Amino acid sequence: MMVRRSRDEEFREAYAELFAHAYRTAFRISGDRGASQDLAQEALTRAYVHWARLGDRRVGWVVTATSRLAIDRWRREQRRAGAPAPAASIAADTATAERLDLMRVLARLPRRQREVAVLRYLEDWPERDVAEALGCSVGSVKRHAARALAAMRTQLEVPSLATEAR
Amino acid sequence: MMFTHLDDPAPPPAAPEMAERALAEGRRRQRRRQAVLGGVTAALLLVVGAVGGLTVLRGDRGDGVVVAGRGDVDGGLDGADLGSPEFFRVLSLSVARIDPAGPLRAAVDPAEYQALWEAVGDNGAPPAADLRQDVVVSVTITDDACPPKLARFTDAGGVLTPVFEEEVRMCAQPLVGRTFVVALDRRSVGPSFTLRLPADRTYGREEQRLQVLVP
Repeated sequence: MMVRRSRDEEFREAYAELFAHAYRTAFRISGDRGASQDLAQEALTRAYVHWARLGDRRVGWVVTATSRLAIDRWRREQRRAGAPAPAASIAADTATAERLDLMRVLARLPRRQREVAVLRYLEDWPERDVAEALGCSVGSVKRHAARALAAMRTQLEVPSLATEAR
Repeated sequence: MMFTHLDDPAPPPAAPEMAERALAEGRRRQRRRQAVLGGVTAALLLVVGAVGGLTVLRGDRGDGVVVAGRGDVDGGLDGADLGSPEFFRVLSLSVARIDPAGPLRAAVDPAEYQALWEAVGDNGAPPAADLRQDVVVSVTITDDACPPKLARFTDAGGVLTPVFEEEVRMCAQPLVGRTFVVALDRRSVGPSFTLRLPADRTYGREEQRLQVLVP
């Protein structure tokens, strides 16, 4: 009983901060307020289920889980629509076009590369923090990031990314 | 930050009742997971019990293999259990080298095995394989940070496809391709088979097939 109470208290205390991270990630990807709230809430619910083993990696876990949920939601919508999303060039505005491209790129990356890309580039975390969050070495993060960056550079016209890779 | 321009200028606050909702839903899912796990465990115990019963009733052939249901369950080549150590053994797992022959190779005699090993193996002598009993194949998979396990093969009309499963959740390995060198039971594969590696869209690799003739 003590374990449950302490776990619930921890979750309540951490909720606002984790929700903010999750919402920001979801919104950067989807640009939809309602959907972002739902995605953040779902990520937090899942975080509670796995709480005991998240330890110090809660923020990283919630952010990567949110990105995965956002991409899954986008894929479902694509399937439902039965047609690919409009090309970036004819999307309504620059931000929407960038989000579409971002979604496409992230959706195509292998899981680990995507996790690194989300934390390193979407959330702008230092490599060391990414490594800690994902439980791997900084060298491994560098390798994943380089691969992800190559894919992003090819498909996203974000000069700052290309500059940073050098 | 590079994507701050995509931020919501007025993000919603996290209300305490939202935390309570997540907590309540999380608890509900946890109970459901526990119930499902309990059900799966019970089902497994039933299956184990049933197989044990069959062994007692139908007997064992003397080679440790329960005769009942063997071909029916697996549907593999000549009734072989395509996930069993009798059918395949992983001889080595190494970081992939660039192989102009592609991701699949096969060897049916010692000379071919030596050539296969020189192309894909680590330095040093090849792992022991009896080419009278085995056919050796190599399968190179594209990079993944979670080194997978070769769990089994599936068979569709003589086309063998390896099935890989990720073993770990946290993937701490470097991002590299990996080559599995695998011994297949020669009797089970028969005089010919096709080794298949499904397409990998992420890396733009088409499906690969290698027909192997076994003298």
